[in-house]
Amino acid sequence: MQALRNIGIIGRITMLEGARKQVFHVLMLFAVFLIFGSASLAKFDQHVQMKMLNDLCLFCVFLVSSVVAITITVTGVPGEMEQKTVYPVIAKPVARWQFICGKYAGAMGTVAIGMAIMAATFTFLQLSYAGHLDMAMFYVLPFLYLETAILAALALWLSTWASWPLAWFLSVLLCLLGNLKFPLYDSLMARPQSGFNRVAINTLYHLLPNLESFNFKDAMVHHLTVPNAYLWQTAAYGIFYTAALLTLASLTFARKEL
Amino acid sequence: MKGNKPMPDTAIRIQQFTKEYPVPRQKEKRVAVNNLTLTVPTGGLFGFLGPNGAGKTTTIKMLLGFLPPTVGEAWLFDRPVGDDRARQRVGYLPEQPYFPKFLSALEVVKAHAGLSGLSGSRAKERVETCLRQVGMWDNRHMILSKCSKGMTQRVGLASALVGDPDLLIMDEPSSGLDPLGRKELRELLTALKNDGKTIFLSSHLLSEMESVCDRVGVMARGTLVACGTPAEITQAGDGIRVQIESAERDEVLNTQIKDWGGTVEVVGEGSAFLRVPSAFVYQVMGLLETRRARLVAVTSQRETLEDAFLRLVG
Repeated sequence: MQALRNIGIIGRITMLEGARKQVFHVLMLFAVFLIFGSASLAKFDQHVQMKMLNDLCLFCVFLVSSVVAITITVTGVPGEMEQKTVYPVIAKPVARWQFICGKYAGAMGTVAIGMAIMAATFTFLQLSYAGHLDMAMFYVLPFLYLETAILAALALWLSTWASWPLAWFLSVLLCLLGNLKFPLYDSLMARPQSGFNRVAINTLYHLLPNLESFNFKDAMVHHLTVPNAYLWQTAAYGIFYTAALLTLASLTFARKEL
Repeated sequence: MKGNKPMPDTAIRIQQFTKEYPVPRQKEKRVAVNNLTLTVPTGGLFGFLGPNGAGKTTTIKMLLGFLPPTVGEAWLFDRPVGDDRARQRVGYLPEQPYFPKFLSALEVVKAHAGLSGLSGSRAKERVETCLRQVGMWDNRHMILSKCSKGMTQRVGLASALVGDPDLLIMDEPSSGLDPLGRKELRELLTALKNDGKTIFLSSHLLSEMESVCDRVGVMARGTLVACGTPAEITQAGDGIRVQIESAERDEVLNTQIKDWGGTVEVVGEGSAFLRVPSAFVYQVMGLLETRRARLVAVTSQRETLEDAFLRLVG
């Protein structure tokens, strides 16, 4: 139980610290501005307008949440080591994996605050333009959150062994690759490849997170029905992928000299 | 919880601690700590001295599990330092403690109370006691980015104390404190010591250490060069200073003083200071009578901890 308490305490500190930073406030203002801005871009007949509004707003939510998740996690552990704030915490009976999980929980808490602000703005716009709330939001946004959770775990693992600028760059790169995994794989495999290259491409294909599967934006925009089983499978995949990355991050951090 | 367990005799036991760092593009390694064996008994204040780069902070980092030793082992209250539970009874104050700067002093100390396993009213009570003890209660809602260096140091001290630890490890605790703060710290350390706590303290402020430490260890170039009570460490340089007035330069007196291992320092017309080991005090008095030199003053020339430190690491 004390382990869970430790994670909760470190998470709370990280979340408070993250949410009080000016850069977070600026990003939130920027996000709200973008979401309102997307409403002025979507000036067509009401049906098309709602589709465009949903599309642009969800893209804004994903973009800003991803930036917040990657930036907070990628700077979290190296920042603690650089500023020596890690010492008083690790000197307590706190295991290294608890520290990593706490930092992660805090970062995701900050992302949740940000997402809640953006979702509230999005809801306000939907009610203003359509007069009703699209219920698909209630599964589209949680899956967007799960996608950022994978990104944050990936960034956290990278930050345990790479410098934060490199970890940030690699996280953004992997975010792009994870979202373009299928078309990229198809285009690479369509060309003649040597045996080694085929193995390498297939390995990378399976190792890279399948971030596109968390994107239910199109389903919401085009009012498509997503089978429940698929939603559960995707959620389980996201949770297991995140858990694996957090385990890797904990193992790397446990061997680190502070 | 901890009160049920009997207190082991040793708070810290270090056996052959060695830490080597690879030097880029070189075969040989830099030795930060070399074969350090040290025992700190339970209770009392142990001063860990040494110049910059002597290996004090590296030793503390290894003790707290931040760094693995290249060779050697250590135990805190008989638990190996690799075990996270070894730090259950330890409070740590790093040199210039840093905390998340957007948090208030109260939030930081409260969080550390929770990490020490305290909750509910006990945690609340300890947080208030510790913040009052370090003089930060009135400024408890102040955000740390607005706190001075000394105030942050006080918050660090409160965070180290909040878990009511049996062993306090402090790295330069008085850095950043003003003279009043230092005096208060000395009083607090004495009170904690009287409470039965063990304090392991690294400091450069040797005069302060001398007045509060029960035992000291002196590190130089990664090696422990002396360990014992301040009296044991300073004993070798124990001596007296005799001020005399003599009408003329007395070569017989000078030669005899030098034979006893002393020195003669002429400070003016017919006035001189003799420095001799205290074992020769009566012989010196006899010599002065024989040589008809006028005795002005005799003062104890006990070597201070600082003198001993300089002699040992010099």
